Amino acid sequence: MRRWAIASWLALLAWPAAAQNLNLNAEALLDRASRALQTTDFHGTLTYEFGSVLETLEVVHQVEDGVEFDRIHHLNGAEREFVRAGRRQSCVTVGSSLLRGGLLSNSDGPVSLTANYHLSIRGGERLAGREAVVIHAAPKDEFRYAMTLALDRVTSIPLLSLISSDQTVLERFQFVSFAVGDAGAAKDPRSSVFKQLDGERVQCADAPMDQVPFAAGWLPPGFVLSQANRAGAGAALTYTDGLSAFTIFVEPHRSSAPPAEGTAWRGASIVMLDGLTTNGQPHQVALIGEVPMAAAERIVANFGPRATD
Amino acid sequence: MTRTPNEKFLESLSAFVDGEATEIERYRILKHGGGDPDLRGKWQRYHLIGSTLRSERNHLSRFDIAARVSAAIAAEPREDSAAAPVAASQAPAWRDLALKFGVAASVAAVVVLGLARPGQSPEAPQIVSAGVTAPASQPTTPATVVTAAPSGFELPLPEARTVAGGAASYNTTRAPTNPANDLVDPATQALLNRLLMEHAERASANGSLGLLPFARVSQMEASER
Repeated sequence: MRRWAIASWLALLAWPAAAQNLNLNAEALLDRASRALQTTDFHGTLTYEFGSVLETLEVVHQVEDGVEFDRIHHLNGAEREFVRAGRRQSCVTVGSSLLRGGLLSNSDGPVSLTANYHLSIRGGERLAGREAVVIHAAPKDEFRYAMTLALDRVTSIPLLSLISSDQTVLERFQFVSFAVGDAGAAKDPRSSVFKQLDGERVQCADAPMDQVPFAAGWLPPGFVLSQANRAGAGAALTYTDGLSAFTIFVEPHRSSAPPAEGTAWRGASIVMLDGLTTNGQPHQVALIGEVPMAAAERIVANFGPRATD
Repeated sequence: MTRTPNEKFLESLSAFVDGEATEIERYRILKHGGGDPDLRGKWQRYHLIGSTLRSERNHLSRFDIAARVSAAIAAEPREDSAAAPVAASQAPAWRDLALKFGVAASVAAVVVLGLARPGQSPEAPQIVSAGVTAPASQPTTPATVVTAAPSGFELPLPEARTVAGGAASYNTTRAPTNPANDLVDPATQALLNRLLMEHAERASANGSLGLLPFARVSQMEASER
């Protein structure tokens, strides 16, 4: 009993020293958050905001026998509901890998989250009636946005997620109610027009990817190919650096008019359309994701057919 | 009186934390600040000191930022005043504003750089939306803006907007614009929404926040099952 008492006093004394290692704790908390999202039964309602738009949603995540079930449903505006079942808990994506402090490699060498973001703890916040710890990921270059996450102290689930650029908030997710445990009837889809997604198709980091005849000739540091699919004669490639992601769609352009070109924004998301001609065949290229224009421009400009050896 | 590189760095660091760094100092910090644990320790301490000094002003600085964000939002043309069923699908639309190339999309608004319609040169969209003059000047930040702090370090959470005072200013009057000129043509809208949805599915399969990327989807084809 006495030994235990001494041990706990020593632990208390060590606390200020531990608090000094703020950067280490931020990484560990993100690791915990990424795992918690796959293992915790939770449900709640949240807001999603950008510009003058405020959307409200309900979200459910449940795990049964190592298989995950997710449901997200817009509570305002047009009916939109998405249900995904079948994702195995053991399936860790490339993005989650990076968020958990993993070291991956792309053509430029080893890649990790902290190589591209400064992680720091920014104190506490109260959200959805619960205490949360705020983590900030500041970008080390101009090719990604800053991200702020507030993690529930009890479950480590993000209760707030915010993408910002130079003091301007581009989009914000924030839970307004949150509960842990079985969602009961809330697991069932509410609308008659929900879209069913196949969780078994989630690309696990250790699973092989389709070979596609296109590739990004240049990527911002830290981005890795996370999922590649052939779609007919076209392709879709998704890249992530652990916190942000973008997808490039490319497909043969059949119309007589030239492919669309231009840039559009919506909240934190950018869409950049461009034309690409290869082997005499025009293609429509579209990049969409939550990256700054500086990144999108350069990626699209350097995207093309994969060099065949 | 020459300063060692480390001293120069520490001065830049202090300025950086206090929001007074110049561009070259910010570059220096971001380039060299990450690796050295000793410097990292100093960084944390500077940040803590800065925070403490500002603790009494935190309340104010949050509202300043909130005012700036809500003013940027306020300056944005509002579409969803029309009949509900129509507005439901139009409100989160992609929009086409007359914005010069090169202006950074640094405003919390839905800004769209002209989308060239097939067959037209990239210059064409600026002609198409030339009738809308208000948006061209709209992104300029209002007088209440605070000096931009270095990215990432002095960003207060925008939760101040949820405080009663902040929320009241959220829906201030907007500059009236002609919605017809703001909207990208329906075919391109449909393309953009479809891309957004497909990316949402891939982002939620590859990213870190579960199905949350689907929150960004503005329209879902009812036939998708």
